Parts: sequence; C-alpha cells; structure tokens
Amino acid sequence: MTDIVLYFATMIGIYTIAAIGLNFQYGIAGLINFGVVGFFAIGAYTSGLLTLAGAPVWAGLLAGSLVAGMVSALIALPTQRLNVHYWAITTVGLAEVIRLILLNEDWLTRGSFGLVGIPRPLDAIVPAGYQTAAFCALVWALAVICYLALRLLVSSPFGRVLKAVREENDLALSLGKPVFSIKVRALAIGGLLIGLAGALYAHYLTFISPADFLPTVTIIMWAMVMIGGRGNLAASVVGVAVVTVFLNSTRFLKDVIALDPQMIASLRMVVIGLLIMAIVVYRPDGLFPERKKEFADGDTPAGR
Amino acid sequence: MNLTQILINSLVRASELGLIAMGVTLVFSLLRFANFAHGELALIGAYLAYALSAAGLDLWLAIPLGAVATGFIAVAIDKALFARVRTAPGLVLLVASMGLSLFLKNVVGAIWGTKSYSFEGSLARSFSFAGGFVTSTQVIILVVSVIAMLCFHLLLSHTRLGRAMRALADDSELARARGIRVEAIISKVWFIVGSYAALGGALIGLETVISLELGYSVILPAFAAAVLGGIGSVHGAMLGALIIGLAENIVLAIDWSFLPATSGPLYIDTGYKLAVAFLVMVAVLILRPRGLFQGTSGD
Amino acid sequence: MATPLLAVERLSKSFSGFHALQDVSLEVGEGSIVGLVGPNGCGKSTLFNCVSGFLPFDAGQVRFRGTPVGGMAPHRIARLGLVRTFQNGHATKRMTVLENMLMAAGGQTGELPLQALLRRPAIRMQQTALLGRAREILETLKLTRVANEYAGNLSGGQQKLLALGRAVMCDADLIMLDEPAAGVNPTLVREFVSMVRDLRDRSGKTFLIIEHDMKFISGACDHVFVLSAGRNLSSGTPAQVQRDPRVLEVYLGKRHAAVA
Ligand SMILES: Nc1ncnc2c1ncn2[C@@H]1O[C@H](COP(=O)(O)OP(=O)(O)O)[C@@H](O)[C@H]1O
Ligand SMILES: [Mg+2]
Repeated sequence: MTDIVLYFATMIGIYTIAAIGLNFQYGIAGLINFGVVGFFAIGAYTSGLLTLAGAPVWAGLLAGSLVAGMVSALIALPTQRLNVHYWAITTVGLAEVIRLILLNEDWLTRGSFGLVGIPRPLDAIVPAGYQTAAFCALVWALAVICYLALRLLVSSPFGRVLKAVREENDLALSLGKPVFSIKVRALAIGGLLIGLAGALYAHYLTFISPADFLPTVTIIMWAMVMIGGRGNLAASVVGVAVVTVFLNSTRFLKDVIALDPQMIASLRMVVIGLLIMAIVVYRPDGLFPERKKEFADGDTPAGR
Repeated sequence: MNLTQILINSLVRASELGLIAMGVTLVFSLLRFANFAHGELALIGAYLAYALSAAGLDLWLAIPLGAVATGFIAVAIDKALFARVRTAPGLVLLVASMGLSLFLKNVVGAIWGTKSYSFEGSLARSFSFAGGFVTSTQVIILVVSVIAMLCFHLLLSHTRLGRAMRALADDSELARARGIRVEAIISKVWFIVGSYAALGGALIGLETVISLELGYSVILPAFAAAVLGGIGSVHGAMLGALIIGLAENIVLAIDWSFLPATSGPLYIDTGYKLAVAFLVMVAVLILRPRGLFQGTSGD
Repeated sequence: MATPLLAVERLSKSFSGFHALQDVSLEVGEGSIVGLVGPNGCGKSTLFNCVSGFLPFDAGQVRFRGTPVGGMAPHRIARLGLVRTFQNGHATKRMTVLENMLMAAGGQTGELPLQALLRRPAIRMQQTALLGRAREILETLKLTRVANEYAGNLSGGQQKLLALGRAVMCDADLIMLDEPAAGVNPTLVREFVSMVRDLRDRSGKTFLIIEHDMKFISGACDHVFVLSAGRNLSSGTPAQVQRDPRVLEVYLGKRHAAVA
C-alpha cells in the first residue's frame, strides 16, 4: 500500500514540476508550447546518458534541465516572425524531430531499446527500504523550490511584464519592454523545469525509451495545466493529481469490468480529450483561475 | 531510386496530402485557427471506409460513403465544440483542437483497437512506366484525387457557395453585413473539409495500411503543405503538398556522401521522413513567413 | 531655432501599392501640444505606427531630439522617451489598473529573472516608490476607485485615461495619443483636456494628439497639422486651420456627402 502511495506521490511531484513550467509559459507568458514532451525527453535522455556514462546524478539533473532550457530558448527565435499558430505547429514538429532522433540515432540513444539501468540517486546513502521514500522526498523538495522560485518571478516586475506580453504584445512594446528577449527568458525558464522533470522521471523509472515520449504526453500535460487553471501555478498540482490518479486508477478497472485493457487505455484518453474540450468551453480559466492581484493601501507591490 | 520513381511517388504522396492540406488551409482562413485534429478526420475516413468494405461493400462505394459520413461528423464536431467558442481567442481554439485530436483518435482506438488493417482485395498490380513502377492503386489514387481537386476548384470559382466562402475568408464582418449566412457557410465548409480529409485518409490507407497513427503522421506534413502554399490559399496548399511530396522523396533518395567529412554512401534514414516536411516548413517560415506563393490565387 | 523634439521629414509609406503616406512632414516643439487631424483613413494612425517603430516606412526620416529613429525597434524608441497609445484600447483583460501602471514604469530592477530572484530588497524599495507614484497619477486621472479592477472591465473613456496614465508612468517626454476622446462622454473630454494641459504645464510633457473632436483640438492644442489622403494639407493654430478653405472643403465635402 505504501508503495502505491509513494508511486503516486512521486509521479505527481515529477509532473507538477513540468506542469508549473508549462503553466509559466502558457498561463503567465501566453506562449503555446505544444512540444512539451520534447523538452521532457531532452531532460530525461541527457541525464540518463550522462549518469550511465558515470556522471553523478546531481550533475545529470542539472545538465538535463539546462539543455532543455537552452533548446527551449532556441524555439523562441521564430516567435518574432511567426504568428502564434504557426509557432505552435513548429513546437509540435520540434518535439517530433526530437523523438525521431531518439529513435534513429542508435549509437547515442540505443534507439527503441532505450536506456536501461539509469541510477537512482540516494540509493547509495539511504538504507534499503527507505529509498523510494527518499526519492519521493527529493522530488517534492525540488518541486517546492521550483514553485517558490516561479512565484517570486511571477510577483516580480519580470512577471508583470510577462503578463503584459501575454495580454497585449504591442502594448508592452510601446512602453519600452524588450518583448522578444522576455519571451526567450520565459520559454527558457519553463524549459528548465520541464527538463528537470524529465530527468527525474528517468531516474525514477530507471528505464526510458522513445515510447515514453509520444505526443500524447504533451496533451496530457496540457490537460493538467488547463484543469488546474491557467496562470495559477499552485492549482497545477490539482490538475496533475486529478489526471495522474485518473490515468493510473483506471488501470485497475480491468479487474472490475470485463473490458479489454487496450480498450480501457483508449477510453482513458477519450476522457482526457473530453476534459480538455469541456474546460475550454465551460471553464477556460480552469478549476482555480488566476487570482487577481489586489493592492490594499500601504501594500508593497513585490510583497508576497 | 531513379527520377521517374521519385516523381511517381511524390505525385501520389501529393495527391493524398493535398486533400488534407486543403482543409487545414480552409479552416485557418475562415475560422482563424490551426486545427490540430484535422489529421484525425483523415483517420476516421480511413477506418469508416475500411469498416464499410469489410462489411461487404465495394471499395468504390465504401470510400465515398465513408467520406460523406466523415463530412457529417466534422459538421457535428463544429456544432458541438468549435461553434461554442467561435469568438474566443485563436489560442483557445488551438488548445481545444488539441484535446479533440486526442479524443477522436482514441474513440477510433476504442472501437477498432490498435492493430492495423488493410483493405481487402486491394492486391495491386504494378506496371513499369518510363523506367519506374506504378501500382494500379497509385493510379487510382492519382485519378481520384485529381478529380476531387478539380471539383473543389470548380466549386470555389463557379458557385455561390464558393463566392461566399471567399468573401468570408476575406472579411467575415463585411460578409455578415452583406447578408451572407455565415454559420450555414461554415457548416458546409466543415462538411467539405471533413469529407476531403477522409478521402485523403482512405487513399493513404489504400496505398499503405490503416493504423491509429495515420492522423498524427499526416498532420505535420499537411500543415507544412498549407503553410508552404501560404495559409488561406487552397491552390497553394495543393502546390505545397507537391513540394512536400517531392522533398520527402528526394531528401531520402539522395546520397549525401558528396558532403565534406563523409565516408561511403550516406542516406538519410527513412525514419526521418516525417521530419523532412517539418524542416522544409520551418525553413520556409523563417525565410518567407507568408508562404511561397502569397497572392497567387484569388482565394 | 532649437531642434524640435520630434521632426517627421517627408515620410512616405505604402501598403502594396496603396500610398498611405506621401511626403508627410511635421514638427513638434518641446513642451507643445500639437494636434493631428484629418478625415478617416487619411493615414494618421499609420503615421503614429511609423514614428513609433511599429511599421517600417519607405522613405523620409523621423528624428526624435535630432536622433534619427527610422528602423529602430519600437521598444527602443519608447525608451528614448516617445510613447504612443493605440486607437483601439489594447485593454489587458487579466491585469488590473494598478498592475498596468506599475508595469509601465521604465528601468525597473527585477525586470530580468535573475535580478527578480536575487535583488529582493532593492526591488521592494523601488516598487514601494513606484506604487506611490502610480496612485498619485491615478488620483489625478480620477481612476483611484477602479485601481484594483481588471483594465478590460473599464469603460472606453477610462481606458483612454489609463493609456495616458501608463505613458506618464513610463516617463515619456513625448506622448502620442491616438483618438483619446473617441467614445468618451463630453464631461470627461473636458477633464481630459485639462489633464493634458496640466501635464504639459506642470511636468513639461509634450503631446501629439490625433483627434476628430474639434472642441478637444481647440481646447487643448497650440498647433494643428491637417492630413488628407496621406499628404500634408494645412497647418497652423486651431483657429487658423478651422478657417482654412482647403480644410473646410475636405471636411464640409464630407459633411455634405453624409447628408446626401
Ligand atoms: N497594415 C495595413 N495594411 C494595409 N493597409 C493599411 C494598413 N494600415 C492602414 N492601412 C490603410 O491605410 C489607410 C490609412 O489608415 P489609418 O492610418 O488607420 O487612417 P486614420 O487616419 O483613420 O488613422 C487606410 O486606407 C487603411 O486601410
Ligand atoms: Mg486611426
């Protein structure tokens, strides 16, 4: 029983890091990243490959996060010239190219066999029996740090400019804000988090393959963010929990209902798709919309 | 691969892709959003055609019937989803279509499972032709697609519906003011777009196999074709499809060993076929953000 | 003569063959309030777009304090002290009036992510000062009551005031307003005029204002430029311009057409 609870807690922690990264990009800065899974994969493979080659896990996590952040900054380049729809298409394409590279460059990624035996951090220092709990604690510690950092950013002048870019790109420009470099930064920061989540995913499962990074993962992460509430970082954890629990609990449904497991898998995704559409139509701001920032007399703007 | 073969394969690919890309561009120019679920309409068309033919219907009937049914499904989807968020910002519609694509794909998956199918009795004979090979299936694909595109061209240029569609794409406010019944036109457009995508999907299924990945594997090339042609231009999308078809086949057929620092023959892995369309699109977007043929055709 | 704050020199701009602006010239002296009038579609907003860097122009030059700004990115021009507003509001649906004001201030510590994380005390001090200033400006604009409302929920008139407030908060020297009185009730228009004059008299701001409302122009402006079909038509004091037969023809012609 504790095993299952720990599994859920760890997975929710990992996806929360990715989801708040995506929510920062979309909810705060208004940038549509439909290639989330690509950055998740970059984080996972970078850290997996480095640690398999002997690097310490902390270095792997850091590198996974940084590489994803850098590639993420790169996708900002065409935002200048493309309208948002074309840009969204290019992010999908980028994720697909990343997956194809993972699949085809066997010499580096071992192709569809994937990476096996990725080390788990803390296994060496934590006594047996407490290792999964320790990993879960590590994930949540990182999640909390990421969340607090993002919250600081959102409430800072930087965050305000991001919101202005989200609301009215030209307005921000007309007031002297360097919109392009702001977008680069917002994408990079989101990418750092998504990459970190991917790296943690790799070290948690200890086995990854291109099949873990199908386009569906992107849509699932979007469902998490949309359900929680765009622009409300804390609410993302609710979206993540709802979706994760739903996706996993239905795995046990096959014991109850006599349905083909393949059928159940499809129906799960049918529900996720329906959820996204329902949210868009009925509650476009999610279950917990972004809160309005009100200033009482004598308040300080950058206060918490 | 020789030149004739490359040309044949590219033309066939363009025939399939064009039918789908044309819908992407129409939806974008009329409703102002990129419909990520468009590939799933092709998927539905392929599965419906398969189901009908498996039920004993002749292919000649199964494919058009499947296309018509998909057209109605597209109209229903519009009424149930997109019509409710017609005035929402484009980004919202984009996200909705993402959810829709997951939904549609998995409804198909729930009904037909994950295994792949091929049409009964589509054992193609192949002919040699000017140094290359053509299968009878490929000939059929070409002919059907060309007829469908011609029909659409005539519809666009010679009918009241076509004029209304163009007016709507130019300026929806103005069209409304001139008394064009916008919602009725939009429904008809969804019907056309849905059945054309379905036809494209069924033709792909005819040539290769029908699997759940069909929709996803076609959406990026279709977008690429639409973007290449300059979004909004239906004729451009068809030309774009031809360019994508050529690019995919040529890039994979070239021996890249003429590049410096290579040893021995160097072919790009066919696994990267999907990436070719994407990279061509990115290159075009960056060099010519409004497409290659902006302002060519009147649509 | 001193260099004018803004000089537009023989500016031309066409949209795929259609000449929206042809050889348009105008000058705005420091500390003046200058009007820009002309029939709908004569190119006034296009001129704003070219001057503020939002549109590239084909020929001519724009100088701000003598420095050519043609080809410069809009945010760089804004940082030189030239801030424009937009004809159609650009209301932020999910940012409050106060957030708008604070965002508008230039040169804030913490506009870069690393600063935002590491320089908390400095940010806090600066933000407290900015908040005080924002409240003061909102007070003069009579927007205090809606300070915590989403800007998207304001009336059209209040949004025009907010746009003015943002420009002031941004420390602009030249504020270019695009139809600030359109859709605003007459009482508010009079107040708007006095606010603009006040900002000029007390803070030395310079204004270039596109407006149709002749009361606004006569009440606020020292000098007026008239455009017609993308060309300079006339210029002078509001009284002179209103008597100019060429201007009368353009406007009366329109009025007759409207009656017919
Ligand atoms: N981006 C654009 N592309 C094409 N035509 C434009 C564009 N912006 C403005 N125009 C045209 O230029 C002319 C001047 O427009 P504008 O400057 O907005 O007029 P106004 O004086 O009413 O502000 C109009 O005929 C308008 O249609
Ligand atoms: Mg105007």
